[in-house]
Amino acid sequence: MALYIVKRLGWIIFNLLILSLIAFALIKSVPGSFLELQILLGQAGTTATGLTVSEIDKIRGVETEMMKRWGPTVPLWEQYVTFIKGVVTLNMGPSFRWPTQTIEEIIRKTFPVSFTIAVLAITIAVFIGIPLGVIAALKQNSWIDYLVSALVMIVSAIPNYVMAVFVIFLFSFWIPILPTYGWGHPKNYILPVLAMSFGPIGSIAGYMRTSLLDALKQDYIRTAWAKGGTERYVIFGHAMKNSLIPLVTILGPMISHLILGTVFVEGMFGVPGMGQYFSQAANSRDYPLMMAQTVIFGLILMVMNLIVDIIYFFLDPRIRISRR
Amino acid sequence: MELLLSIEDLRVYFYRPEGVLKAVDGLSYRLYKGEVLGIVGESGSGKSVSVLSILRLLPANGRIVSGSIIFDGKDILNLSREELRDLRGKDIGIVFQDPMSSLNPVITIGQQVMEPLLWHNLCSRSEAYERAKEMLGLVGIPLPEERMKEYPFQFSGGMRQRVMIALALICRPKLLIADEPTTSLDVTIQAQIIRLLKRMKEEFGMSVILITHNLALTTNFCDRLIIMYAGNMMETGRTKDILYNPSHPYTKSLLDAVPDIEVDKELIPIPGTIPNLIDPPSGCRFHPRCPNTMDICKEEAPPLFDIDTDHYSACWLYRRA
Amino acid sequence: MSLRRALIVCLSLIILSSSFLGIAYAEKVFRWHGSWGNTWDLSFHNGFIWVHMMGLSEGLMKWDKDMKLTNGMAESYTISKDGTVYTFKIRKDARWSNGDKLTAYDFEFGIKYILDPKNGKGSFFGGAWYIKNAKAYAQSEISDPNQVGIKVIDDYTLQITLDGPHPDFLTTCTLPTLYPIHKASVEKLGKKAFEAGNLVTNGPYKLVAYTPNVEYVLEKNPYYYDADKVEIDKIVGKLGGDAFLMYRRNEVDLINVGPAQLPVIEKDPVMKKELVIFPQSTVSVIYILAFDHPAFDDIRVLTALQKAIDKERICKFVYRGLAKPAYSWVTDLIPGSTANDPEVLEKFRYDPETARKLLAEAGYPGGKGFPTIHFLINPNQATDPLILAVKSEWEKNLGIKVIIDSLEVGVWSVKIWQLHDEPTMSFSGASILYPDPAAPLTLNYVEGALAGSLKRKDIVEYVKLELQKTEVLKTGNTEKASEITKKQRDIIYRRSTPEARKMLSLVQQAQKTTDPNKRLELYRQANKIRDLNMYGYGWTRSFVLLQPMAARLVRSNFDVPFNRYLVGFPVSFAYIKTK
Repeated sequence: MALYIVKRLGWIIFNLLILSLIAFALIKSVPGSFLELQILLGQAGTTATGLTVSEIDKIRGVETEMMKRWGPTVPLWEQYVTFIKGVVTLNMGPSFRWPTQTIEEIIRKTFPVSFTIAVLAITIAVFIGIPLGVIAALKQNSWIDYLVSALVMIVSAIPNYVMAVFVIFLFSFWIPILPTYGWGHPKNYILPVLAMSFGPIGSIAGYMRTSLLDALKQDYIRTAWAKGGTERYVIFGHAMKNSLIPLVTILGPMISHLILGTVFVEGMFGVPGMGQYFSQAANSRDYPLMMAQTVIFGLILMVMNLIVDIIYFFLDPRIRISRR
Repeated sequence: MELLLSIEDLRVYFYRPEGVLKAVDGLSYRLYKGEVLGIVGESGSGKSVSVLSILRLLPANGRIVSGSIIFDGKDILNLSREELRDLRGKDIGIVFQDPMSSLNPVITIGQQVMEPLLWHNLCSRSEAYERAKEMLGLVGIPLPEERMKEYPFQFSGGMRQRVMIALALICRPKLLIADEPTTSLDVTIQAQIIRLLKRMKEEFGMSVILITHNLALTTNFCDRLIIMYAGNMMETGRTKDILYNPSHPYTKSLLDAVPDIEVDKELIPIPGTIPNLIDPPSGCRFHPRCPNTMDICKEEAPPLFDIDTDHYSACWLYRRA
Repeated sequence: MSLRRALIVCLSLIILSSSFLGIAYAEKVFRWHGSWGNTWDLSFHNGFIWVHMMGLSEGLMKWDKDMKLTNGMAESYTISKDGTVYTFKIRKDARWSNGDKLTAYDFEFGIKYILDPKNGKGSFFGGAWYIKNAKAYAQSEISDPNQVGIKVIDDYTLQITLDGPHPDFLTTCTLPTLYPIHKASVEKLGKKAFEAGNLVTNGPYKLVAYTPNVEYVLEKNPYYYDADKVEIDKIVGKLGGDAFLMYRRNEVDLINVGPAQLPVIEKDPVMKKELVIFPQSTVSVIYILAFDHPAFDDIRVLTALQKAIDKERICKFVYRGLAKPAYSWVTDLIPGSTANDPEVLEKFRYDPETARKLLAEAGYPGGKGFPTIHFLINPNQATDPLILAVKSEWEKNLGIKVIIDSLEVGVWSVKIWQLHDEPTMSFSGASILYPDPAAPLTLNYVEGALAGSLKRKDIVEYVKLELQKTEVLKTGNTEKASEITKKQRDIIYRRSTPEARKMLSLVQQAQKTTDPNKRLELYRQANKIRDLNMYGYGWTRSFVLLQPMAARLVRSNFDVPFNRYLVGFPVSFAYIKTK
């Protein structure tokens, strides 16, 4: 197992190298630069810079910290090597957009926030989604099943920023008990976590329903009934055990998705997470942040997959024993 | 002999989108204590459905529309869920066809064998453990204590079927149903499993219903046979009577299709295919494939005609004038 | 409802009892939504420099609540006869938010910090550009900051030498490019000095908390010389969330609103009263980009395009009254504007008949044979209905075809500088940041207007040089780059139209004129020439379209003075009063 994990970690590093190289090539080949955009859109989108074009050029060429790493006069291979060195030594330098913060600082500050929110949302989704799915499966084709299936469809189809508005209306206007915006108080967690958990509730409930229905059709469930099992024994002892294991495989990607893709919810509720930093990075051509973002995205996805595989390893005897 | 199971005019229909499938259509038979009954037929003949009805383990779209099943004095069709549950696994054990899919892949063998005892609250966990170990040893699993910790995928097909037999027998049932227990196994292992069943029957003295499509397996094991075709009983009688003196054209063609090791004769496959049970043939259901079809066969279903002692045949050939 | 009533009763009981005990002090908090920014470093040109201006920092001069220029950190000043040397006396009671004394050295440090090419990437220098050698230093032409015309005579005396008489210099002293920066903390902490907790400021407020993308909190600076006159104790700026919902929930006191929200607001009796609409110095402009097509050298075509747009209608129906038509580059909020000049108004008045006639005279009757016009817009502009309205006006009134190309913002930022095969346009807003006649006619703007008067083929040549220069700069060859710049200047100054050169000479005259009335008149004439001939900024020609107005909801218990020049931010938090 240890060897397996080491091997996988090796793969992750290799993949990240390839990923960052591709990302670097793509990012560098996209037209536009941070300075250009800053000059054009710096002041509320107006162009009243009061500078002539030749003056802008003079300022563009300056030897600032960011130009040392990413300037047009630095050869591309050197920029890439500097970036990789920065990743390894945890010294990726300042962001363009957030010049007083280094990339490491940004990640250190925002990752825990995004991670906490995502894990809370997933936890809620698991505790609501699984029972919903189980009930729907057990009462297949009853009105409960239809209700749950309809709910699953609705919450999976509605994007989380619409859900965000919905929960704001629900808990800030109709039942005015929660603030719509802000950070720092435990209360502030409730709405974003709720808004983010709807989608996962839908997918978990839907997944659980199909997977339990599938499990219930299996021969070993017939065996369990034939052995004289009660519903509790057969469903929770036998069927659930088999349908919960594959659920782990969808939870991993779901968490990484939530950690990385919460821009709207963050903006809506004022959650100081990673999403907002990263969503603005591409639009403003903030190269260091874009590169860091690629690496972080890749890393989170791959590490989550590894964790899922490790958990799977312990849950599923077939894999655990055959790998031994 | 004491009666254990009596089935009267059992009709099991499957409600499918394309129509009602009459899987078992008016089946009656009896089983005595200590007796081994073989139910033989091609796949789709309703033999499995007839025994799953005894445990009421039919799929959701299958329904017992009429008839009665009396087991050990209890009317199975009128039992509450609780009473039925009490019967399953404890008084009636069942071994299914495919031991791979019939065992839960993520639960240890030991646990699965112990479960019938635990679920029926027959003994403590430690005692269940001992009994499971003993039973696994009895069915011929070497080093049972170690193998109890293992999972189904670590067992060979034959070994898995032994496990299935062990868990069917762990509560010492009055009736063991073996539903095609050897079909998915290698030929060499098939005989071993039948021998094991026979040994277990001698050991525990329960009644056995063996369901198979292979007449050869019944020879040394079954006391009595029922030949089924398309949801109907075609012929019934003592094993040797049927094997050596078959009366029904269907039984005869079945016997022709059996590879006989002793006599080197040509295999004759039964012409035609099993009929569509949603819209079964009129009269005798075998008539489209029967070599001896008469006019009446197409019009009226034959009743059971006496052939010999305890030997009946549903064929118009034996109608007394 | 009864629960709420019970709560209110409870709360008022608590307030009553506590005030009875004499411990109650209702903190006055102003929460607003609509600012944005990434760093508090004054050398970076981002939204937070305006928050600095609104109360974090204070320059030598400041605006009072009636938008009149008054002394800020300067107690007094003297101007030399030739108008080039300014000597400021700094207030003796000037303090930083950490209690440190504020001296002339902090101003010297601050201005040089902003000019220092190693810091930031500001694109706007305002009055700092007027300081002797400041431009050369900021553009790395000289490396010695001591050559910049800033001299500290003693702790409280600052002498600034300009490169010529610039009567608007005092006004620009209110802008962030001439603010002091706390020298000690920057020298000790570097860039970290600009983070919340470290940032030392000299305005009425200090920064106490900042969560990027979420909010910042300002509190009264007790060391501010006028601290006892500062009404609001705490300012909270929200950086995200749905502003409208937050306002309705009473989580913010001031928000920006757009045309989409106006119908809702007008139906609500409370919000209707709280709505404030006011004009700004911004205008929306259509820029004609670089391409070679003879039609766009023809003044009749350009006039026809202008006259075919019904600006009144667009303002009324598309902007729902949140904009008014603009016919001049400079709005009437800026002195010297020719916005209300009858000649300018008449020349660009909506008149589809004349427009069609002009177009026909130019050889395109009914738009026949006229090339398709492409509009490059970025996603931020996709929600602005303006270009769609212009497209329909042109297609309807002139029979010409317009295609709107929506581009990703970075691609857009590159494409608008490039050469195009077909007639291509873009649009944007342009603001004048302070009310002085010189502000819209700085040398840079004038050069831009000169370039805007060039013939198409000259513009193409100019842009080719521009693109060449970009490549040259990548190799770091600055010598070659300045050679190209020289060639570009040649084109601008030699090939521009006589009217444009007349505008240049008017401005040059105005810059030397100290008599305010004469100066104003010269600038007015220059403005008029620019307006009548549609000279744009940079190498583009352009159409001025609208003057968008700012609309805000302000809770009626706050009295907020608005700045019409800075995209409508409150003048200063210090002047926000509770009613």
